[in-house]
Amino acid sequence: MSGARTAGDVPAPPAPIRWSEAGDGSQRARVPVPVDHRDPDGPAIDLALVRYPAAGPGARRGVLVVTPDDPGSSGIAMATQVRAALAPSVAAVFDVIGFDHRFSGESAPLRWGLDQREIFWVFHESESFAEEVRFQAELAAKAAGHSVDVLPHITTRAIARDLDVVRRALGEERVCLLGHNYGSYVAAVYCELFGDRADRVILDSVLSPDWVWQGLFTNFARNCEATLRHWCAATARPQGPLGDTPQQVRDAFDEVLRKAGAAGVTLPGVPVPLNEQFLRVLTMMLLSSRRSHPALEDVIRSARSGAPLQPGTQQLIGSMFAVPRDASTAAAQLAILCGDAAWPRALEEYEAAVQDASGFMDRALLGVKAGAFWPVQPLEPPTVFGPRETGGVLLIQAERDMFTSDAGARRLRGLLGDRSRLVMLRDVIEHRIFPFAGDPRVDAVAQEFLMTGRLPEADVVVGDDSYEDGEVRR
Amino acid sequence: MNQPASYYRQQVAWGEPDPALGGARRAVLRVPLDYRRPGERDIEIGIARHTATGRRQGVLLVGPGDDLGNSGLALLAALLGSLPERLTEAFDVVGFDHRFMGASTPVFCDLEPEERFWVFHQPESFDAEMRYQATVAAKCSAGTLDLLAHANSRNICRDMDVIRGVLGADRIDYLGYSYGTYLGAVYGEMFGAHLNRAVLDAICSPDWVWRGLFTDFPANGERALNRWCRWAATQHATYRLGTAGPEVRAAYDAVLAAVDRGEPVTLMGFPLDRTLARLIPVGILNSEKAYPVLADILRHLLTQADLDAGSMEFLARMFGEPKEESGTVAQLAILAGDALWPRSPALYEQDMLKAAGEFPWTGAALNGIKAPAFWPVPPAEPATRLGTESGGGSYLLVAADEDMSTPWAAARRMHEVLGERSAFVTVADTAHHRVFPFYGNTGLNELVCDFLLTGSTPGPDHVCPNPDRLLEPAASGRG
Repeated sequence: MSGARTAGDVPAPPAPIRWSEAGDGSQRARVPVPVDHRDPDGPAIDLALVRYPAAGPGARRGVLVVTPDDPGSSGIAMATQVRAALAPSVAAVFDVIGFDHRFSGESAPLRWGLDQREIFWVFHESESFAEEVRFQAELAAKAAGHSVDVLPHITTRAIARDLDVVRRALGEERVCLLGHNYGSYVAAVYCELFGDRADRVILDSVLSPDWVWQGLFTNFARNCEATLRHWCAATARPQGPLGDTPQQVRDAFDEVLRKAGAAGVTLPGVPVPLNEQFLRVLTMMLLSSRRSHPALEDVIRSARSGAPLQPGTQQLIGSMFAVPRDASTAAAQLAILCGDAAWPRALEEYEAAVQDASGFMDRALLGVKAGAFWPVQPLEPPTVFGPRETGGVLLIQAERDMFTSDAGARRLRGLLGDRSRLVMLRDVIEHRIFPFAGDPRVDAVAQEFLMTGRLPEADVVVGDDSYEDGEVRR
Repeated sequence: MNQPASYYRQQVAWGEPDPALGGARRAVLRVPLDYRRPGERDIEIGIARHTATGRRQGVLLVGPGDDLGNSGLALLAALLGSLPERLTEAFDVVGFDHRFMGASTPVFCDLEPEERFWVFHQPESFDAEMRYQATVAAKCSAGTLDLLAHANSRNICRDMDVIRGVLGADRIDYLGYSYGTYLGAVYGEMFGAHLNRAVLDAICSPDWVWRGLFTDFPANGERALNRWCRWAATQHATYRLGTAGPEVRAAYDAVLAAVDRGEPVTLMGFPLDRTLARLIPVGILNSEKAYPVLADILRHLLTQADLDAGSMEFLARMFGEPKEESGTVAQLAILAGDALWPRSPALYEQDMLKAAGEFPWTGAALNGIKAPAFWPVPPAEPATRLGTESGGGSYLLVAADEDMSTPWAAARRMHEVLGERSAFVTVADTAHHRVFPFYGNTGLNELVCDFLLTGSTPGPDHVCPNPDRLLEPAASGRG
């Protein structure tokens, strides 16, 4: 099965969608999709959809589908966030649509009974390699025990095919797409499979097709360490609380990590002591946006001196962990990250990577993952990208994005060819730019593209002049 | 060639009579890799036929291998030297290597010698064992899944039916041992109209598929080992291993303990590790005729006394003709390919610890985690339900009452499942695995010949007395 359509291959039109008002201006609906797209009349599940109808005034231009930004995370929530941040001129003319992708959220979620540690499998590490092997194998065993029959169908390509079922159910010839992070990959796969069914497409914080998906982990480990070094350099200053050279700052950070590993670190006002693994993850999260870099400095300072955290830091940490991560979200994430492409099964590769660990996230991210024990093989190879007859693809990328490094956007831009343009925010540490970051230049380019279909003449570098110390100048 | 029918009609070229195969002629035929997609990709199946020397009555297809993964062609060669003439006169006797091993599109994976022993691999610790078994699965599946995802008993039975078609037989008769007994049962379920009579000897339980094959073994292993100890005690004058079974057992356990502690213990200069120190006796205990060999080996290990010539020859055969690597690989793929194994390390660890306590000889090895728990593809289809009304063929089930690897109780389960389509024969007072015709029990051999030639069966639950029995029955395997 491929997206290529031939004359004789006209799928039956799906039943029209019946929307119900949610009461908050949005509408909800469910659309059935086949579990196995090779067998359209076989077992089906319902996808949960949200729609924010074009608010007017002005003629409706079509639909803008927002794709889920992480494997397993709610596309309905994402669409809601995007809609709230979109310029009124865009919201006026587009129906904004989101969906929880197959086997996540409200779309036949996976119930594997994952415990708290398993939910954070991505960052999990153990005292010993053998212990981690056991942990990850047990995780794969849960996947096999609960869902071995559907696992081969929990893939990005299946999600992209679902999206086309949604398009047809909407009665739309073409759809505009906006995808962030993993959502950029979903949207790109849709373009590859369905070509001209994709109208104007914005890919923001872009994943490289080369990272599917072990590469995502190795790339991320590198970026975390690079960002930490960047933070050390930016944090070092005369009479600074952590030191006046980058090395002194790094030593201070490493000392706190060691302390967390040995006895745990208690932060005043934070109810639980932080262990080493938790502190690494917290560091990673605080590093991911320049805006929270001062909070990391505050955490390390407080952990060393016992002095209280600043109220802003405490609030930020609280908000980061306030929303408990759902077990079914983690299950779907696991299914996609382990299922889109086969992981190496030779354990010595992972063991060697952990032994050679140098970056502060290497042990967790380069170690063995459940993919090494995955009970199914991909039904088809990972997507290969090339130029397609879309209405154009606009890629938006912050150069120092820690989650999705600039290399991914550059790589995909190269593959997509002439119908695509890249907007690169030079030297910026940010993830998910449009429409959240409020960068006027990016917003202008993106809105122009959505409204008129016009791409910039050439790739755009949004330079330092619009930024102050990496922050968007407002 | 892309329609199933064309596979059945294919012409094959028969080679010259092969002296290594008892004069049978080899041929190679082609079957679909995936029967759901015939014509997409073919694989080869190597077969050999020894034509009836007298008036031909039919085709006797011999199932592959005594144990899963062992060459069916090698078994054919062994059989042709042992089958009663009445049968070789009346039947074209045909053997084959099952898919992915030997002469049938074999798959090789560069396994280390130690990795070939994964079935009986004795754990040093659960973690080390998990690593070892995961590595075996990873190596066997690396780059081979395009083929091995189609390794399962149902596909082997489909291959058997193509063989039948190529041989021009509307119905075949069948002789299968050990894993081959399971294939005989599955074939009758899938192609019942084309199965005439089947003799199953050393029978797998229909409940085993396949972790049960492993978890059932340790209890039977202990029983078989203790039975041998009882026998060895009767030979105290010769081997001086002890005058009572438990004394002999203690002598063997002392050797095992030394090996497990890592002390150097050598057999003819060859160092024994914790796996081989168990696997060699297991191999010997499948043949009652080799009982003295184990006694001689144990005496050698305890006293450094020279091995006698018979033992040397036995060991030379055992180590000189190791199972082909492709047999090991295909065996793993089939064990994992017929039914999904549990995959939880915690479950296996619990089972391993419990069995290690109850059955110290092989409990840890067989109840612990195994390579199929890491196999990267699930079964392509559900395991066969045996004994349904759509099945066909009539069966003669043969069981040695003290068989270790395929115990009498397992054969009884097969009898229950096959019901009235099967007759059951017990050979009394022997642990010999594969009794017909190898053990040389005249009564049984006559009975099997009569069944295959005329369809006649003995009365219900017939017992063949054993004039060659080595020792008085104690608590029998028949319970």
